[in-house]
Amino acid sequence: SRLLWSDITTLLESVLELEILKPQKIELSCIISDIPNNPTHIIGYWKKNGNEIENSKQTVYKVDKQRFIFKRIFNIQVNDLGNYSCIFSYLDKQEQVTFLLKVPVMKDKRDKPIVSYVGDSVVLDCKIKRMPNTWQWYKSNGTEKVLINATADPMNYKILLEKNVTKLTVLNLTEEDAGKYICSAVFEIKSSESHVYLKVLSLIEPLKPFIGITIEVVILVTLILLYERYGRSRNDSSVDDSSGTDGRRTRQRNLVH
Amino acid sequence: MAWEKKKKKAGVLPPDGGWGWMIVAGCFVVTVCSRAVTRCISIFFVEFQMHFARDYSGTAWIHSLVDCTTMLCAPLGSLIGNHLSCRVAVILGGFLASIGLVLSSFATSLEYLYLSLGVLTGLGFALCYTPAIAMVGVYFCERKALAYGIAMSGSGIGTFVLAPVVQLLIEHYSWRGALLILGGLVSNLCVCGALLRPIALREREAYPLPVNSECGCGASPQGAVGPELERPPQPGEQRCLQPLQEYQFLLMPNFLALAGSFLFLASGCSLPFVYLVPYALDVGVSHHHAAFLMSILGVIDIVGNVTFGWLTDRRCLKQYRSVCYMFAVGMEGLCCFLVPLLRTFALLVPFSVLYGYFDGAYVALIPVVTSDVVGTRYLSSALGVVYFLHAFPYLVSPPIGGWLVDTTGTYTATFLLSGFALLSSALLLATVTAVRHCQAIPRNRPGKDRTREKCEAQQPDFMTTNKDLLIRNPATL
Repeated sequence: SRLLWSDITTLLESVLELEILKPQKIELSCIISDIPNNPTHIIGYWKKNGNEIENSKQTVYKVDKQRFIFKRIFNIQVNDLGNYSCIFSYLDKQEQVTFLLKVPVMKDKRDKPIVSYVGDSVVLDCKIKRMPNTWQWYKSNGTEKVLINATADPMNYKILLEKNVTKLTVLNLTEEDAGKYICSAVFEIKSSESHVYLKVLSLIEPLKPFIGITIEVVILVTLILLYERYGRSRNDSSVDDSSGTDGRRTRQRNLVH
Repeated sequence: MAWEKKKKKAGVLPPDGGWGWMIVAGCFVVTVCSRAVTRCISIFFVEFQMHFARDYSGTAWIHSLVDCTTMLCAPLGSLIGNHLSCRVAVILGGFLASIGLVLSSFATSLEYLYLSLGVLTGLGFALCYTPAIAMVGVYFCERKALAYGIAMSGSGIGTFVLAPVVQLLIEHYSWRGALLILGGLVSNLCVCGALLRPIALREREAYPLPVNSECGCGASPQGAVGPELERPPQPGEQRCLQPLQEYQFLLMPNFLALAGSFLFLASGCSLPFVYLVPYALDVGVSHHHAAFLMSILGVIDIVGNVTFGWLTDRRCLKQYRSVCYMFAVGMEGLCCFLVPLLRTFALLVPFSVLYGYFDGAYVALIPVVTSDVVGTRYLSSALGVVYFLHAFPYLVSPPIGGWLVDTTGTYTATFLLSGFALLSSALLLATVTAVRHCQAIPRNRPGKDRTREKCEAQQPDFMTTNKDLLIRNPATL
């Protein structure tokens, strides 16, 4: 087992996130300083997930002139991940500091679905900061998860595993391939999951706006050319007048000159 | 039949309005569909990287290919515009570009995307970009710079609007569907092509023969150039510009100087766009603020486009358009020199504002300055060559900038290089203009009044000589 030191030097409410990759023993310590009226000792206890841990209450004495150190060793196994708080009281006040122990989380928002077409292929990816032992992909069918086995089904799936990144390539898409895909980063202690939605469209979907725009273009071109031809035929029918105007203009110029 | 009737009518002067504004709208949409879509392609890169399991360097080639192909094939676009018509060129370009995007939606590998998205779509954009810009130059004279400013602002406004739209399309339809729908949107280029109504311009020719614009984007296809005497074509004969004649402007020393300055300009102007955000992150600006700097650049770019175009159309500044252009480019260069001294977000914001403004300013003036040098007749071909000259520097200078950053470890060298390139561009043009001016002073005045005379042909002008009046009234001969 390994020991992990953490310390907080504050009186205010604060939360510290700790990423736990494998089962281990962790020492959480709270260092409190600058308490008004400078008492000789304070009472502290620990809470796990909001419930007080039995027999955790203890009297803490000053280490040096200003500081109190309040610590405890926890044996963290799979079921022990959660919120741990050290709470200490002095006078009538209570202060606490919370440690969040959890596996690394994939934080990027995936609210927009990835779109692809029937017969095409698509690449779904997941990234995480710490390197997991392995990755696994699931397809969600309502409430249950079905594991995707790329080696058993190489015609339809390819999984690429590359340290902090994984890519699932779904080939030969059909309408049934749409839905929620879950990527799972497997750590020794627990898995961390993220999901992405896949939408499969038929080829007709983008064709509709395309055909609409093409029809608009054809109509506009025809209208413009017809308008020009109509305008030209109108001008030609009055061509006798134009030579008259020219003559008048040149006569005017001659006068000016 | 209608054409024969038109032969008897004399050509018209540039409308400076009326249907011209529809042309500006069409050019605006062309700029949106080509430049803005090119910039929005980078939004697809993350999707491509995931799907094809490649990294950033593999996908970045797509963007370079589209940009490079668009610029490289610009002369092809002006060629088709001259020989067939601008309308046909733009419609063909729109067709190719949307086919390229639709084919890309069925891509099975990244190399497939290089061909369909990089080459085919880039070629389609090249075919529509130059003819549309040339058409605006034909329809406008008095308010040319303003018209160009509005038309070119399409790239800024388009990127602003299209970026979230593309993101939304990718979320709802994934990249395949998004490319398909984008292909549909790009086919609106065909609508812009339909708007480019050919116009018969009256040229200041010594010969009273009518012009027929069937053979090109509005410029007269007659053989005469200025006061040179060639055999005047017989009344029934219409000739298109021969290929050699089409590129005669390449021998003009003014155009050569302009071309040289454009080479320097293209080398310097893309670097700050690419390296501003990495530099800001390097000096400690946060990600949000760095992205905000780019947004400021984009928005002020649009403002610069339109306001500078309006400004240089004012009567007092119209003669000095080239000077305004040199001023804008020179100021950009100076801003780049100051960048290494700006190390906080608060200092980089004014840089973004100034740089963005002058960047929008010179972009609006490129077609104007080119048309001032070569004239309306060669504008289409000249624009093709101008944008062709942009291709190689665009491709080569960002990697060189990146190499400089890697070897020196700071961004100072890159921004200094950019500043030098921009300043040399402005200085080259300034020197040549000054030399030309000094040589022209002892000669007669009409050379200086040429720009005024071009646009004020509608009003009688007491100050011009007999010769000019004669040219303006071919019917009196």
